[in-house]
Amino acid sequence: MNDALPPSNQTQHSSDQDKPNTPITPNTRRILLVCRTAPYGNALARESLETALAAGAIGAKVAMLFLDEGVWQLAQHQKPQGIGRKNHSAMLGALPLYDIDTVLVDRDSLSKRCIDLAELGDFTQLIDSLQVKEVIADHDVILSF
Amino acid sequence: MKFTIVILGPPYTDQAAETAFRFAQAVLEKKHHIYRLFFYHDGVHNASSLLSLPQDEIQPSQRWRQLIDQYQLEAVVCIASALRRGVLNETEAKRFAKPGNNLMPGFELSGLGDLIDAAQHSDRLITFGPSS
Repeated sequence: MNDALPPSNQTQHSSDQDKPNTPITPNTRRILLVCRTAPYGNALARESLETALAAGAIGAKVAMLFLDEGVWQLAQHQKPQGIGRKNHSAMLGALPLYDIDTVLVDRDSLSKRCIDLAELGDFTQLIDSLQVKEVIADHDVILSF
Repeated sequence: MKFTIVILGPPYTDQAAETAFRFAQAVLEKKHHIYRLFFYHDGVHNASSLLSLPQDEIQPSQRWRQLIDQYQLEAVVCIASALRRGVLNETEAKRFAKPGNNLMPGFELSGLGDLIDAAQHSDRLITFGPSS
């Protein structure tokens, strides 16, 4: 297939390591949701999850990255009823059902907060701070919450 | 270039929505296009027609409306965020049996699908706010 391409496409293919070699069309644009706020105390965490599920529901290519205070969203056994809030952590468990398979968690943010790795669901992947930069650079659209 | 501007910050309380407005103005003055304005989270308050600042101050929703009218922009307010924060159009006010509605003309209530669509169809998506 590549042999059939005219020479003008050569430069595009030389950058294959950095970007997918398919052209960026609306449906292939890769969206990264960066979640940096604690699950409660502000509605932003919930609204970032709602965005993720909406994106998954319409078949967009979405990944999530939990950073800083956002890693608290992944803690198990949340009981926000005591502060008059609805528990929205079950929405995290629904991510794989919406074909959101890339759920990245910054290792440093976890260790700074002494969050036990056993707390994390098995749908998450740990990454290092250096990889965080790569992941952000690797996506076409960043939605920051 | 096609921009989408996402406004998460409320009017008046902090600077994010004001910066978003100035950015939108600059984009249009430079002859770029705005694919969509998307108001989400506390940003939905920018679409309230009930905002009533002193006369010598900027009226945020009024000014957004002028920009929307002037450039025929699509201004979408997330319906889920808006209902929770009391920004309702006539239909929603009737549905929830509320005594009034306050969505500024020029804005429309719609779903998060419009945010994802904008992410997929704009050259640049820029988020303003929230404060933290």
